[in-house]
Amino acid sequence: MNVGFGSPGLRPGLLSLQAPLKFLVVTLLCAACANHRLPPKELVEADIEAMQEAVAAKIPDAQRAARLNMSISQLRQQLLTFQAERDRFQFDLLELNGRPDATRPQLEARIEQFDEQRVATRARVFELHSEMLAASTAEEWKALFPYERAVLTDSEH
Amino acid sequence: MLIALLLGWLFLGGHGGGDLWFFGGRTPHQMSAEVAKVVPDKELQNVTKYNLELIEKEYKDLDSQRARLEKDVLAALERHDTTTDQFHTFQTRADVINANATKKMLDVRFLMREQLSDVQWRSLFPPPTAPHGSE
Repeated sequence: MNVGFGSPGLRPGLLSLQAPLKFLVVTLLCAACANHRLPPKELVEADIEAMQEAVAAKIPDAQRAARLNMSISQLRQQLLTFQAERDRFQFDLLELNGRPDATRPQLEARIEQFDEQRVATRARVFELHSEMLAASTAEEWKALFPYERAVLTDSEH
Repeated sequence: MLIALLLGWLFLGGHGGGDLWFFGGRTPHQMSAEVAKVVPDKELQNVTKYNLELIEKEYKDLDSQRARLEKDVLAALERHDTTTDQFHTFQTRADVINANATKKMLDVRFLMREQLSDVQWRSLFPPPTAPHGSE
């Protein structure tokens, strides 16, 4: 992004704003970098918290806001549990793969075991998504979706 | 490019994380260098590198399928009128991709295993030291 600091076209009256603006942008960029360095668990927690704050700010109806927050809390739980399962699976798979005597049925069984957990979590995540849609209007969802996307993509909203 | 890690994992399991699990976090280039060290026989070295390239190619294909799937799923999640049936369609699509990828990866894995000695295998695929992702 070109923010045009010190560009020749900057009006003199705005020059005094350059330093604070630079500070603000640098601070925001550092915050963004810091967020990207967060371990996966903390990143999900931070994204979930941001989504719940967005609900408080954008959903005027208290009952629907409570329903949304309940779904978001359950989403948090699902994803944190899934992350732990995923880490165990990756470890087990690499461990199994490294064993010269590992058989195909052994590897297939571990993959299948993880797939069962994964499919169950995926179904629940979509259920929670549907619950959130039911508790919001189309307009409200437009404002909330960037937060859900951030949660599901391990990225910033 | 959007790296939809959690979504990728939810849809494609071990193939959805965007990295080559089979290489234990190493790049294809690193693996190739490792093969050159561990497998002295030139012919076997070339065969092993060819098999690793097959795995890398499979992952590249998978990556583009994953990117398309993620794009479609995110677009559906964004809409307020997406039906449950539409999500089921994505899940079916993902499961087919996942099953095919698992089969191909295991085929190559066991083909390679037949060609390498126990010592070579252990050197190329050392066990992980700590659960992946635990930092």
